[in-house]
Amino acid sequence: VPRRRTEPERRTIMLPGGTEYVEGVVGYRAWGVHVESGVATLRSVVMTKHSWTPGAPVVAECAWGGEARHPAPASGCDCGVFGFSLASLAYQAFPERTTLHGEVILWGTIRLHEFGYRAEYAIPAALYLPEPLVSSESRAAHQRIASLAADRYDVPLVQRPRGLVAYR
Amino acid sequence: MARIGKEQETITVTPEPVPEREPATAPERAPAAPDTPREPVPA
Repeated sequence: VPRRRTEPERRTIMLPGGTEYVEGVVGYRAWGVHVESGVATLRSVVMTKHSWTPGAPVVAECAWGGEARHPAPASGCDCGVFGFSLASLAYQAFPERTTLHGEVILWGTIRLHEFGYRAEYAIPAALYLPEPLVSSESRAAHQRIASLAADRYDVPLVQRPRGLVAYR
Repeated sequence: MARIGKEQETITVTPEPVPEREPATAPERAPAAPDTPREPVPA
């Protein structure tokens, strides 16, 4: 049986509304960023029509089951909010220059996989630009878009995710 | 999903209510020392 590379990293956060907290699982993922009139919106890389709402958790829904819809994330399905267990894995899966990477806190029902998670709830905790994606020519544009997104989602824009040794 | 490998197990992580803070109150005053008879002062 394949083993996960690490036990899930946990972090305690206050949930929106300020009446609950959760010791969630930390996941690493990528988004596409849509910028219009100076407003940046994070969009799922795979479910490209799905935007993340600032200040609110994403609640997973299964878009694969057709009429046989089920609560997400279901065992054996591809539904749920995805996160990798390591930032390097997220980078290797999504090395496109059009993506912004970040840390998410996951909670609710969480399916643990070899290299990541599928969760019921998620909220961004930090954003970062993997250095290999940013050339000297594109640095200013990347930083501007990342800053817009960090401001809108009220999360820090960090130089590197915590604990990262190398992206490759 | 090939990118995150095989499913292994399931956990449930549940939010907890934030404990309410005790309302701030003024510290209780120390009880007054009992009155003790004074020694008569020699003139």
